[in-house]
Amino acid sequence: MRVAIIGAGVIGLSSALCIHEQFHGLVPSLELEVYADHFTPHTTSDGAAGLWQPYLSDHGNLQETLWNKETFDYLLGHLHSPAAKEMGLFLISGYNLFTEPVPDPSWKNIVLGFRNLTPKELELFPGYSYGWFNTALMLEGRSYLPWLTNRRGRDGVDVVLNCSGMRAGELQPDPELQPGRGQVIKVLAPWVKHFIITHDLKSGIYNSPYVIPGSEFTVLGGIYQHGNWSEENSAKDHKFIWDSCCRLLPALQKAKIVGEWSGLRPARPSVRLERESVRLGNVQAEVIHNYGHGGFGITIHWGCAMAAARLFGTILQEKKQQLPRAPGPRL
Amino acid sequence: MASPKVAVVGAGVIGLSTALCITETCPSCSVTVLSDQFSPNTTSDVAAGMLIPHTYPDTPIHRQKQWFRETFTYLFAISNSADASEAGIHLVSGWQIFKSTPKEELPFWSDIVLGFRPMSEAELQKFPQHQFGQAFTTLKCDCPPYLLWLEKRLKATGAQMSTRRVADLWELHSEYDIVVNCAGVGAHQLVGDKELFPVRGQVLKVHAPWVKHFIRDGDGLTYIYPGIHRVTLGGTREKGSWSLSPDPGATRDIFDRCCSLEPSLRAAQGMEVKVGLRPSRQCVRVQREILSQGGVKLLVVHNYGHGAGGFSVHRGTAKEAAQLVGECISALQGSSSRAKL
Repeated sequence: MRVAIIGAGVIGLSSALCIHEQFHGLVPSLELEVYADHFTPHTTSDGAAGLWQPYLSDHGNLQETLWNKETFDYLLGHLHSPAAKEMGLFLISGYNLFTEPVPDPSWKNIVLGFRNLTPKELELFPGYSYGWFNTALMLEGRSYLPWLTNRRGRDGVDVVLNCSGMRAGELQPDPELQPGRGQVIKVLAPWVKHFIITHDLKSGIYNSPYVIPGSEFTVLGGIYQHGNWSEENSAKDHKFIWDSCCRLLPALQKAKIVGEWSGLRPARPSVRLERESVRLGNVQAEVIHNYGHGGFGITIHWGCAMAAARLFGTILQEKKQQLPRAPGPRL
Repeated sequence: MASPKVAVVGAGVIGLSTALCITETCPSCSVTVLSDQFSPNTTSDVAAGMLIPHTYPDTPIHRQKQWFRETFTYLFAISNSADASEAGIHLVSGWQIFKSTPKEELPFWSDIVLGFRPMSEAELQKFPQHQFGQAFTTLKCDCPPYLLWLEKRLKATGAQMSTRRVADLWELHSEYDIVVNCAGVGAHQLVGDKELFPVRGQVLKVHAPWVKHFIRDGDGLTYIYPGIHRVTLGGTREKGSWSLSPDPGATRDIFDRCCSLEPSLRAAQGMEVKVGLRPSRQCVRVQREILSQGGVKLLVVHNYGHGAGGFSVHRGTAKEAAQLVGECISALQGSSSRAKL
């Protein structure tokens, strides 16, 4: 059984690991190969700060909320393992800020210690009158992606896992998949111990300043441009991020800038996670699509990897039941 | 008395903050800080500088609360300004956990720190050996940055700093009008205060930048306090020990206890071992005293004995001490005008 995984971001590598963990004992000749144009540290997942936090509303998409929860619980379970540091996994608390009251998010009971901000806490953030405090997780791509790769000791294709993120449209046109361009500034500000995410409900998700402290540097951001394919850093976006983050946290004025990066969030109205039989002439392969995770890939990855593994299991079942067992041409 | 000359003995957090308060309340005073040690070699430099108060058995609670509130408010404003990183002041969230539910579930300072609440069951799962916990956000003063920032602000007012070992307050009576005693653990020798005793603390400072929360066991013996560049792991509380030498057995024990609360610390790098002597007393001594010797008077203001809680109350006690200095100046001016009559 030969499986090709297209894409080596958090979705591709975790799907590969999940399938490997569940099936390598059951399918003796299982071969998993990851194909990608970029590997860590050059993937979209590497550019993300790594904060586990879904969007504010799941728009009734309960499935995605369940996958988010599965991911959080899975990571929480690894927090005390010796692997945690190697995975780039640690707890982090912080603030979500609003200019008006908003309904509680779908993930309020997934994270730890979710509560509203007190008036005294809001004094820290002039201009914001409402907010949340909670404890969540950081999962840094720079560490997690190599860890995922190493976990999976290595070994015509029967199954293709399409985890190609932003470039899925090149494999198979999908007008629903659009870039959500982001830009971030990396600074040294080790005194910042909390994430701070502001929200401007009119301008949409991630178009308002945010500060996310990692283990080596702090990420400043606040750009989400739907439909913009440019991966070049923009001076105008730099100014917006810098000015608005320094207004939010005056102490940042003294922080040293150590890098800047732009990436394309693979945005879609909902994640595409489904099977498809693809036929080219007399050749057939089963494809499992797992792409379109927008700005919450790290947040949802494990739940999706498990769902992809379940689909893979179904494919294996079907292949066992196929009579006669003819090893036909593979894709 | 045109320009009262004030000597502040001691250059830890108490000495420097008291000197600074004096320059604020009495701009015409000339202030000199005298100490045998300056940062990074003071007791304060060893401390983590967490704003979690220690309870003094013989100081009224309302007074301790006032000191803490003033200190918290003062540092809160700095943490929220462009000066925060230079001053070493930052917010930190975390948990105080107890193996069995404490008698007092709401400490006197719970409404001064931010977001104080009991931990949820889900949060307590992180600490299987602990039954109860409190979650809150407070402030941390990183040393040396905070002391260096205080020194810088003092120098900007014209205050002097001088390395000098003062063995007896009377040495200063001819050069200074008022002496402020912020000698910390040195007060035991300097003013012969037998009620002042050391409580030895050993800590480890490690590089573990993924640790973003404090964790403190309510028994006060085990704590993890993340600072700007290093995490302080503690500790010990050895009453009556004057030893400043690190104890390797204690180092292993502290590290193991902290790793049992936060297993990821096993991967921490670059361990430094430090020892400090908490200048402990049943109550903090913030008090005026007039010393007398052969007809000569020496006006003294004491501000020492903060034990394990120096950072938590430093600004509040500094302001009170500065007020007492103001009273001394009024007394001196009163008597000098009487002398003129």
